[in-house]
Amino acid sequence: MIEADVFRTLADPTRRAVFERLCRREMSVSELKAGFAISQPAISQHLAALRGAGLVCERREGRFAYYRAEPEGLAPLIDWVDRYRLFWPERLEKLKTVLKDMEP
Amino acid sequence: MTDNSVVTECDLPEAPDKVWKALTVPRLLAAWLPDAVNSEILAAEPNRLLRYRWPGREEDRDERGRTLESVVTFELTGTESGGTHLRVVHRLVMAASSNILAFRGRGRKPVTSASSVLKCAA
Repeated sequence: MIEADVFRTLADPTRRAVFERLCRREMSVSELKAGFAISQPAISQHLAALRGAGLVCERREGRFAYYRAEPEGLAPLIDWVDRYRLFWPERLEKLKTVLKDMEP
Repeated sequence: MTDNSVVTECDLPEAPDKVWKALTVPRLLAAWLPDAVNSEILAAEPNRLLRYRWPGREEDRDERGRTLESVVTFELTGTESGGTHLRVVHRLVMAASSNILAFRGRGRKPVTSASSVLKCAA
């Protein structure tokens, strides 16, 4: 899974809200729908996008499908944090040089 | 771990007004943080606090051109020795109530902390 996919998927606020609800517990589509003012097909579309990005997984039980969040799918967000954990100390070193070179 | 952010702190020998110049004069800012030169300023309190909207990387944009928003806040505090304590908070802006990274800690693999406070020597 490449980082951009997870970022794109979670850029949509409704999708993010669906993901957050599924972080709490596994739910069926109809349970999920109860919390949103959007149609079941729209929820299903968001679920498909989240599954495509590796953020949600599906479990089938007879005619029913249940969904839960997949925490490993968040690795790209962890990467975002890791990237800036390296970025800022480097930039602050440069800032120190800039400050030393400035006129008093 | 309280939010989706990276916090970096450092002590500088220069006074807050000088550090403020390095943060706000485009020519000086370009020398150490070119990414921020054309960024939107969201809040400014001279010699104390500056907040930029951080430009997302092009490859992170979705089909409608949106990107996950992040915001960088510089907090300047004068120190007893006449220098500046600089605190940089880079926060990934998600849904108002959301703390998506915190969830990772409840996953199968043990994860320490996604947020971090880094110290660098002056």
